[in-house]
Amino acid sequence: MQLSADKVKRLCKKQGITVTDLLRQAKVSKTAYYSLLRKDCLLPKSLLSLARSLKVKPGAFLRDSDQELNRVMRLRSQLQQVMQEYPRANPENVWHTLLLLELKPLERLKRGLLRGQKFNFYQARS
Amino acid sequence: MAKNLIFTKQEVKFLKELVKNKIDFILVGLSAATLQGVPVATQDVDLWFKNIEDPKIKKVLKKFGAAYIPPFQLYPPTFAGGGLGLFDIVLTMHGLGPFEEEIKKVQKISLGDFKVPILSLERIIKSKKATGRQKDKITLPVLEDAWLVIKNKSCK
Repeated sequence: MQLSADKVKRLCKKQGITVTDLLRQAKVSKTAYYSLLRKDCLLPKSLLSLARSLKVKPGAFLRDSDQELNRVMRLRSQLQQVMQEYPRANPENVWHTLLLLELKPLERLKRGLLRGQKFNFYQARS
Repeated sequence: MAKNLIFTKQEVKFLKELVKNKIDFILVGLSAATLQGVPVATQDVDLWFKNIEDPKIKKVLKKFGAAYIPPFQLYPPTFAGGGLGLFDIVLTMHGLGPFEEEIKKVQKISLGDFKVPILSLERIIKSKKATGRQKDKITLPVLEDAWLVIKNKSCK
């Protein structure tokens, strides 16, 4: 299983960024990226051996974290869209709103009340 | 203000009873903002009633073993007992029109098997701007940024 530079480029283009932008965002150095590209196989040999022995694909052993990853990526892209449209908005406010919008209204309210009771930051000075 | 309470079944049940008994009210303030997804902290749930003297409110309160305490000098009106300490009663909203006008602009948000009328974020912002209180000035940028996100999402 190799890393495809073409696929990376294509996905970056789809999101309107360059590979350099991607590396900067993901905090991955160029050296690390090119080292990944040079590898014949990204998976450890022991994992491949296990898969071969059982005649299954290496992915069969892995826990599916794609869903969570996809969710974060989708939210990140929404954050980027909002920030492009409203550059003066605070990205933290935007990000936390996007996260809360994923929850049911009652859960959002509970979180707000919990924070309010925990920090009590609106108390007037005596 | 109620402490150590998170919005429990009792409070949800109370709101459901208000809706079931067709009592005219709007959930307002920062709790209405959090329901819409604004990342702010709030200490209570503000309810704006069309007529706090409505006998239907007394009937619901009785069911919960609670009572209405009218305003007295500096003390605002409040509910006592029945585990309803998290609710605050609002008599007027700064910067907004009368209840009869605002009720036409509310949003209805689902709390499980029923919907509660809440003040829209746009109206909350308008009201917070009008109060000019320090604590409202602090939350305004968060409310405004969240509004941009919600507007942006609803347009898509």
